[in-house]
Amino acid sequence: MRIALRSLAQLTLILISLYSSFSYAEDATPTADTEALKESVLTLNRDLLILEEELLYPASSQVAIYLSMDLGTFFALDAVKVEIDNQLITSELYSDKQTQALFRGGVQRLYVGNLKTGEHEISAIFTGRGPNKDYKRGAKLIVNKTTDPLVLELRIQDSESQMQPKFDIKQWEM
Amino acid sequence: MSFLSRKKILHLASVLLAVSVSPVTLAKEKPKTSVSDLRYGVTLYHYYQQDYLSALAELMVADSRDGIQGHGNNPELIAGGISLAFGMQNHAESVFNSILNDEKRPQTARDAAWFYLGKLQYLRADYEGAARSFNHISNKASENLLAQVSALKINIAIRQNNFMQLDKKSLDEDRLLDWNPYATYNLGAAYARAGNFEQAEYYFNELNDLDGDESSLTQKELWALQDKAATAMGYSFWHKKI
Repeated sequence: MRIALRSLAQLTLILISLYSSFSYAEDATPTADTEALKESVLTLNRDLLILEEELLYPASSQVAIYLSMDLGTFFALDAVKVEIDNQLITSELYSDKQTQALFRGGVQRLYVGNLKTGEHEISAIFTGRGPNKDYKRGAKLIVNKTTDPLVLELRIQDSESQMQPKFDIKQWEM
Repeated sequence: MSFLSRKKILHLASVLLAVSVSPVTLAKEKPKTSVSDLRYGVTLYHYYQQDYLSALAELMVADSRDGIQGHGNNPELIAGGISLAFGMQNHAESVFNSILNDEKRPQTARDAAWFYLGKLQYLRADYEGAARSFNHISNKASENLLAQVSALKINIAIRQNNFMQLDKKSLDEDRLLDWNPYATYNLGAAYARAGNFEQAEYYFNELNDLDGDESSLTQKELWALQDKAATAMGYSFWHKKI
């Protein structure tokens, strides 16, 4: 189901990009038709995203993990690994473009999945470069999953007093 | 190589530099602090990577739920900006006009809306309209925004072929900030296209005299511009000799 939805979305996007490139080849100014088509694709994409979320990750079991960087002048992120109950659920290697987007205030949606109700241990391992040395640091949080969605934010922050990065996990109240 | 083809090269270089005045190549900004709404942060994450489709989709999903909280006018402005970058000019225009039609909006939001509307008009080659929009921007707007406006006003003068009326003071380094090397190059290229090689050399020399330490452009970016200026100046010397 998930693959089918994504394939449909991707196919639609390929078609729109092909259509757009042909249109641009004929005329540098986007036509009203092209813009209307883009709006239709965006609306369809939105509906697919909502459908995907509702079908695959119902609120009662949903867990979403985000990653943010507050300033981040003391840390250049290379990679992150996330585990739930000692099981690796996602990992990411960061390009310069991604770290710049985080540095400028972007937030990455790192993982969306399902989790049973009850107590769970969330852990994240961050690797990267600091001002004077390489860092490999972890952050842990014990959470109690209820029937509400569980939203967690992995935060990389600057500690001005210690002149080094600090890492923690924030649980958002839903 | 004919003079026409040299002109084409200079024109192409100028067009390429003008393209760099896009919504995503903003001058360097101070890093933001953490966002209070994750969906807004995810939108920014995609936007800063020029993944406009994902950014717009994120905003649309947020709108269909309970919207984005705690960011004032920013989500609307960013929606307009992304739409503009994604080639949805009519949609972007309606977003900016709705901000400008609401008199209760703060001046910062109005300044940003006038700026983007002006940029949109510039992209549509409505240079008079763009100049009018830019003139609505208050002096209280951010330094970076005013710098971009100054650079775009110079580009408008070039497009309208009245750049020769600009005096050399219009190239105010303190006002143009990171856009100064681009504006200098564009003026040099404009004079070269017009056949005024002495003035072209003046601007190309100004650009080549710029030191990497004086400009906050990356050294590579400045070198690339200086390389183009040196090449263009070579053509100017060549043309004067033949």
